[in-house]
Amino acid sequence: MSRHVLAIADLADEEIESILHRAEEMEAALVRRGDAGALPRSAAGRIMATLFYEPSTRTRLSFEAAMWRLGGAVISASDMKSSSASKGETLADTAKVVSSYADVLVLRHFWDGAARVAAEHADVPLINAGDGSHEHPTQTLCDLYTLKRAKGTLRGITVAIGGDLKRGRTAHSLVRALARFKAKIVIIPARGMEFPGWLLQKVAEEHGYRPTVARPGDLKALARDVNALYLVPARPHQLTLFTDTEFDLEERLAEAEPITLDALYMTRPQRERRDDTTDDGVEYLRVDSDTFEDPTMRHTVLMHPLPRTGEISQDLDRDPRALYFRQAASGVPVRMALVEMVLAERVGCEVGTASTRAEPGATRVGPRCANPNCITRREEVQSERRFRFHREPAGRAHLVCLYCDHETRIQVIGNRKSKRYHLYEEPMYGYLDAWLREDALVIFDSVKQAEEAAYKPYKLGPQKSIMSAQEIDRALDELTDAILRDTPELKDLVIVGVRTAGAFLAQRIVERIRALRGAAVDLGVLDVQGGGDTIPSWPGAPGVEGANVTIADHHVVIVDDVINTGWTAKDALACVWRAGRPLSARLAVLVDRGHRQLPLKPTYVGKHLPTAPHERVRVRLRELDREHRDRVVIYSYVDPKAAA
Amino acid sequence: MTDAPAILLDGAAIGRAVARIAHQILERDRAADRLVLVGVRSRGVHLARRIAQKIEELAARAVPVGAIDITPYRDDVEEPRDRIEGPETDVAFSIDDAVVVLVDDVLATGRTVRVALDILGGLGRPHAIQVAVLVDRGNREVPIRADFVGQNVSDAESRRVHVRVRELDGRDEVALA
Repeated sequence: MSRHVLAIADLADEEIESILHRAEEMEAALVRRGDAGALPRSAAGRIMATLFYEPSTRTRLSFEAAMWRLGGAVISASDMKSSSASKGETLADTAKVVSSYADVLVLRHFWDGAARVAAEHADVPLINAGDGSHEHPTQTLCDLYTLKRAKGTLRGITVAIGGDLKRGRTAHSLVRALARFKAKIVIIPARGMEFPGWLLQKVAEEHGYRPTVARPGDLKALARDVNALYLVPARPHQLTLFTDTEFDLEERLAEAEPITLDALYMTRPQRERRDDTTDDGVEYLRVDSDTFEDPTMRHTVLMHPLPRTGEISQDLDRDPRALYFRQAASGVPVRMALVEMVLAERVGCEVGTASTRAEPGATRVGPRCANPNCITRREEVQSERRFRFHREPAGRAHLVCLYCDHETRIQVIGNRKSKRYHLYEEPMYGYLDAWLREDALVIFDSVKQAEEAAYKPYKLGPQKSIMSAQEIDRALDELTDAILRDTPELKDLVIVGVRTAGAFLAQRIVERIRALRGAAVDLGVLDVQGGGDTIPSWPGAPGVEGANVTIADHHVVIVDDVINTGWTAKDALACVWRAGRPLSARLAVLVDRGHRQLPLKPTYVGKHLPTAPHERVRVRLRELDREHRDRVVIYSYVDPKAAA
Repeated sequence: MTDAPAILLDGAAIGRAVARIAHQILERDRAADRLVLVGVRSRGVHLARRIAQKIEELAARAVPVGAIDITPYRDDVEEPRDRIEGPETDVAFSIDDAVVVLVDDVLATGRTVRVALDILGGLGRPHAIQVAVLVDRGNREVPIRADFVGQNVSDAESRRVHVRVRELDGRDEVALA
């Protein structure tokens, strides 16, 4: 079993300390590299293969330099994306094949969780050099090394981390690593780029620590006329509201304990990973020599993972407190230390054994990870266990992807023995737990998935028919008329169906428009789980193979079969906006069954159907139904115990 | 036709609208374990604070108030409001399992609320999200509806609605210009 370094969490505290210590020795040896025997030859005769699916100059060159300095050799493909990957080879196969050429693999990939998939198939140790927005452990090691060199210790120091904290993976893993070493953390997000709540939650759970949250303005105030950077710890009642900045700042100063910063860690806006249409003009934390003139910043060192994009003024480059170039230079000794230990198999985790994070009871039949960038949605994964449970008090439970760590709601649970399924709600937690212990638990993405696996619902009595085929036809006629009434120019109209039933209803509406007006309206298919930033055209429509519908500057009508809580409709709207800015968006549903949890109101409704929460409405369409006929049915769920 | 601005709601009427919204929220969400308000910067935050205060008076129940700032995301450029240079999104409490009432001054196209739903979705897993606005002026471009409305404005009048709040503008009023 090979030892891999996939995440900073794979390394124990002592392992990290030992790497940092060894890196210091390596740095000293690099200074004396002209002397014979100064550098260890611990990788002599060994080969490193670098697989970079994403461009990265510094990470790649420092890994390769580290390997050469250790007396080893490096092989790499000039551009992975244009070589085997473009021929359709899976990452798993590439990892398997290349590990027969080399003694250690270094992987950079654009999908979250890619490193774990590659490690599962590699026969030699694999080091993650960044997978999507998931983990980049060697960057964190370099950060920790630079901090420790500058401050002598990590324990108890105060580090402010500012910038794009929403997408910056370096910032995410640095915060978690610093919390492990009991550093104090102040986070200063740019607006709209806040730290994800789940991450703060995780830090709180793992280390009982909540970082202080500050605003870019706090640092600006410091640079202007405030004598010290005072920040109130993140106590909710005080952080609830700040609108009148000056007043609040004064109020906070009065109560606050002074904080002196040991280090300020800046990150750049992650434009390439951005999934929304954020302005470029947002308030972003920027520092220059003025910021560092304040006496309280005398011992504050400034760090940045580079490349910078204007958030650090160049006039700071000569300042001895500016460490970002040293941070980059630390890449070689730190990676030398890591590679040496990995080759000696003294650090890292083993994938697929009990020592990894796969907990007993992780699901076998499983839903898809909710993270659209997760590798498990792109490639088949080997492991049967793709999730672990995360349980909270009060019956909350969700799944955590073993590959990308993303959380996924539990939607539908089934019992393998009774072959029955039930929508998951918190009161069901007892069943989830019991079935899990009996090894009978199955988790599905959707009712549809459960029914495709030949599971039947826990339900009472026969289905009651709510709408017949004729009533569905009539409702679709009315929906079509209403849509046409509200749409003066058909050329601006796009109809988008929510997969799967909504897409067929959308197709029928488009056919009706063609029959009525002789006009072809663009038809798109929206996969709420898919989460991409385009909406593909209806498959099989003439001449649209691989095409996407145009959302920008069009009136979009989203079509779905049933609206209930509204969460699906909200996600559908988000998908539409990711694909472009529409002139307007309308929502057409065949059935509105109430129980809304979101402020959404369908523009067009075929039938309003008041239902009880335990009832389920299913729209069965001839295209999807075994009996090839249209109908809407309703039935009740019952407690599994009552059904048994 | 006169061009003089008409006052739709004066200070007292705004006070009544806020109180009515607070009553309605309590009526609908009384059973909720956790009720929180989140204002859309800037005027929505002030209204949210007032609604929270009213709820506290009425039900002796503390309601946390947060703020979200949608200016980095907003796409309805046809409605340039005077931008308050303000702090960013500031929701310092968990919204998991909570009933979140999103508060804004005016609901029109619905684009702001749509963005706010995405931001809230990124902050946690609320049980439900509801919308309270002082003025609903119609002209929706997104299928959003408000749960609690202070005043509806008909299409004809809805050209320019100005909401002023004393915290920012020195007085409370809703004017049609």
